Amino acid sequence: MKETNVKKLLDKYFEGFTSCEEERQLRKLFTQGHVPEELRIYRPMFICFDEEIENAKPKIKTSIRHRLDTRYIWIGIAASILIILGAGYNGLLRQDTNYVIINGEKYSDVHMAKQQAKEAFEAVSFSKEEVADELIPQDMKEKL
Amino acid sequence: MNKKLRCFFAALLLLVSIGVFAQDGLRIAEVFQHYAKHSGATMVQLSADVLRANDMTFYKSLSFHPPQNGSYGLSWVIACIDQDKRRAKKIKETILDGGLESGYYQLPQVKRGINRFILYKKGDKRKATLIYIEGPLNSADLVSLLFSK
Repeated sequence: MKETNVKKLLDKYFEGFTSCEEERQLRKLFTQGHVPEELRIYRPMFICFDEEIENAKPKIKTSIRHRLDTRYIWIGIAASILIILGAGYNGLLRQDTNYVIINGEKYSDVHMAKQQAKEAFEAVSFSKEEVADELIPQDMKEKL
Repeated sequence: MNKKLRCFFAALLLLVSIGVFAQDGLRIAEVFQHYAKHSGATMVQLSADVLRANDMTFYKSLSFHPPQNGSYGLSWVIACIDQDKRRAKKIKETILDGGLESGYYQLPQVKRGINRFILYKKGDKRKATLIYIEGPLNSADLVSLLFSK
């Protein structure tokens, strides 16, 4: 870059009108390129800025990644515990799910439970005659 | 713990609990709980291992004698059924003199492919029967089972 162009860019920089790309160019020039004698006083400043930017970059990334990683690990652990507990609890409940309680007394005899279940189911069952009977209005039944 | 994380745990807990206690959240669960150990009552609970042949995964029945009046009487039982049937599909219902004689309802699914039913019938001598069923069977299957009398 020509000396006049560097000066113009520097002026623009100090006025605060440079773009990110122009600032990157300036940093690169002052840290790596050939700098005219009269502008070398600005070199330590740009080197310092460049170092600060480079130091800050990986720290931010690592910190965010670390936070996210930790969160996912905890979510994973919690989900696994819940699934295991849920499955275990379900299993425990199902162990004692076949039973019958008669007059307050609990029996785990599956055969007895099935028999009582059958009786209850029959109690709510209906015959075709019952359905047909329900279809006839009450007043009509009385006349019949 | 942030909001998203709390929502995630709540959703997981809900999923687990829905799977285990599908009957919970229904008012008839209160009827089962109240009358289960009453004198003259019979409550049966069967799980998938003994119900496989009937396309059911869960069965619970209660045969009981609710008093005509009182805070946990017949009107309370009917009120519980009425509340649950609001979100259910009616399969068959018989009303006599304004009172529920029998009712067969299909509740919305809480688990994909698992239907839920409430069956109720008032019998002779103040006897009532209340049944809750879960399983892949549909309402047509259930009606054909009920027609077996």
